[in-house]
Amino acid sequence: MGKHTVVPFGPQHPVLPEPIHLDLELDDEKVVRAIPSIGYIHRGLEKLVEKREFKEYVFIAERICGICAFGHGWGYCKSVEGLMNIEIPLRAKYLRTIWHELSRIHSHLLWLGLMADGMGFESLFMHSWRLREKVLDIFEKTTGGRVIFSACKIGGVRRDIEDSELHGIAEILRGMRDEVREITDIFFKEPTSVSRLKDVGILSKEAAVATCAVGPMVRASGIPLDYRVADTSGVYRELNFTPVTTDTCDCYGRCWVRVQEIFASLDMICQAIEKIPAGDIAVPVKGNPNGEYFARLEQPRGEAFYYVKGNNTTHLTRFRVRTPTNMNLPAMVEALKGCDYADVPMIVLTIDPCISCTER
Amino acid sequence: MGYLSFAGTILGGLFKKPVTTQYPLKPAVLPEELRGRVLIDIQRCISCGMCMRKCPAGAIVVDRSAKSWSINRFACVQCATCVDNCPVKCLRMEPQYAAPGTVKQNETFVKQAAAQPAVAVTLVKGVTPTASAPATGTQAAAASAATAAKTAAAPQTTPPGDGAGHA
Repeated sequence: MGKHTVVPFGPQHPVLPEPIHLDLELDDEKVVRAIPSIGYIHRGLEKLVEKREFKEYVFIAERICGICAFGHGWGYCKSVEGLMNIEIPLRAKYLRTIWHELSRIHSHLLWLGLMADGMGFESLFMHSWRLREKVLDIFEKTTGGRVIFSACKIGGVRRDIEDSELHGIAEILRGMRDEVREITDIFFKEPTSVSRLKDVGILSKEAAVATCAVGPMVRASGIPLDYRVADTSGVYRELNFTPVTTDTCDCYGRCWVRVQEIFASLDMICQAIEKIPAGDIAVPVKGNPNGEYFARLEQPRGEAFYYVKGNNTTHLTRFRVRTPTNMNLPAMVEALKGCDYADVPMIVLTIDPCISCTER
Repeated sequence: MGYLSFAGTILGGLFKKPVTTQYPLKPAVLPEELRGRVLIDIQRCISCGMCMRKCPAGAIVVDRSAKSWSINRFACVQCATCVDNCPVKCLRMEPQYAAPGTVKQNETFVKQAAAQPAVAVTLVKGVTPTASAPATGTQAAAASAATAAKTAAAPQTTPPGDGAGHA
C-alpha cells in the first residue's frame, strides 16, 4: 500500500477551461478514486423560460453553450416544434444540418487545440485554432454571428444561404480537408503526443454502457451510439453517414473518433450542399404550446436531451436540458480510476467537458 | 529526409504572411451580414412600437408622444428581431459593433418635425462620440459621409442634418 493522499483538482486549473472540482484520492501516484463536484457557474437559464415568451426563449437557449450554440437553439426549437406539431420546410432542415455540422467541426477543432495545449504542444494548439477560424468566418458570413448565430427559430430558420454562397462554402471545406489531415495526423504520429494518449484513461465497453456515456466517449469504447442515424429533424438520413467508432477505449481512441468526425462532417456538409432543395425556409407559427414533449439531438459532445412543458400560454412552464457532459462525468470518474496522477488532465479533457452547459 | 522537411517548414514560414489579421495596422474586414449593432433611420419611424414589443431583451423603448426611439446597447443581444419585425423597415443591422461606453445609458433618437431635413440626433449626454464611428447613412447624410469619414479623426461639430455624430 502506498501513501494515501487527497489532491484537490480545480475549479481553477490550467487545463480546465471551465470550473469543475475533483477530489483525487491517490495511492502514491495512482488515482484510486475521483469525486467530482460542480455548482460553480449555475446561471439559472432554465428558470428563465417562465419569464420569456416561447418564441423569444430560443435566444436564451442558444446561450446555454458558446460552442454548441446552434445545437441548443435547434434542440429547443425541435422540442417546441414537436409539441406544436409543426413540420418545418425541407430547406430549413438542410440549413440546420449544415450549420450544426459546421458547429461540430468548429467544436472538435477547438477541442483538439485544447488537447494539444493540455499536453504542452503549443504550436499544434495554434494550428488547430487557425483552421477553426475558417469555420467561424463561414458562420460570420452566413448567419451574422461568430458564436451566437440567432439563425434558428421556431418553425424554421431565420436566414437563407444563397446557392452560390453554399457552393463557395463547399469549396472552402474541400480545401480544408488536406489542411485538417496535416494537422490532425500529428496527434497520431508524433511520439510525444501518442505517448500521452495511448492506453491512458481506459473506459471499457461494459463501463461505458454502465455509466451511460454518450458521444465520442462511448463511440471510442466501440459502441456505435449516435443519434444522428435516427434523427429525422435534420436530413442525416438522406446523407451517406455511418457513426465513427473505434475499440481502443482510451484517450487515443477518443481523439481519433473526434478527428474522423471532422472528416465525416466535412463530407456530410458537401453532400447536403449538393442535395439542398429550393423552397421556403420557415413556416408561420400560430397558437401556443400545450402539453409536454422531449427531443434528442446529437451535439458535438454527445447526445443532448430537451424537455419542454407548456400550458397553452405564451410562456412555457418547464424547459430542461440534459447535456452530454452531464452524462459523461460518471464515465470520466470511471476512466480516472487507476490512472497516473500526471494523466488526469488528459482524461478530463477527453470527455470535452462543458461545465457551463451542464449547470446552465 | 527529416531534416529536409524541417528546413522546408522553416523556409516556408519565413516568407509566408501571418495568418492572423493585422488588426490595428489594417482595419478589420467585417462581412455585411455581421450583426454588430442596430441603427434606425428615425425619420421613417412611425413609432408603432413593434420593435419594443418583440425585443427579447427588452432593450428598446419607443415613446409615441415624444416620437423618440431609444436603445440600451448594453442589454441588446443583437438578434435582429426588431429589424425583422419593423413594418416600415427603418431599422437595420450594421456590421460595426457599438462603441464601448463608460456609463450604462440609453441611446435616444428623436424624430424631427417634417419641415426640417432628415436628422438622427443623439440626446444622451455623457457618451463620448467615437471618432471611428462610421457615418450613418440617412439620405441627407449620404453626400457628406465621404467628407465625414476623411475628417473623422479630428473632433468636429456635427452639422444639423447629419446623422454622423452619434456614438
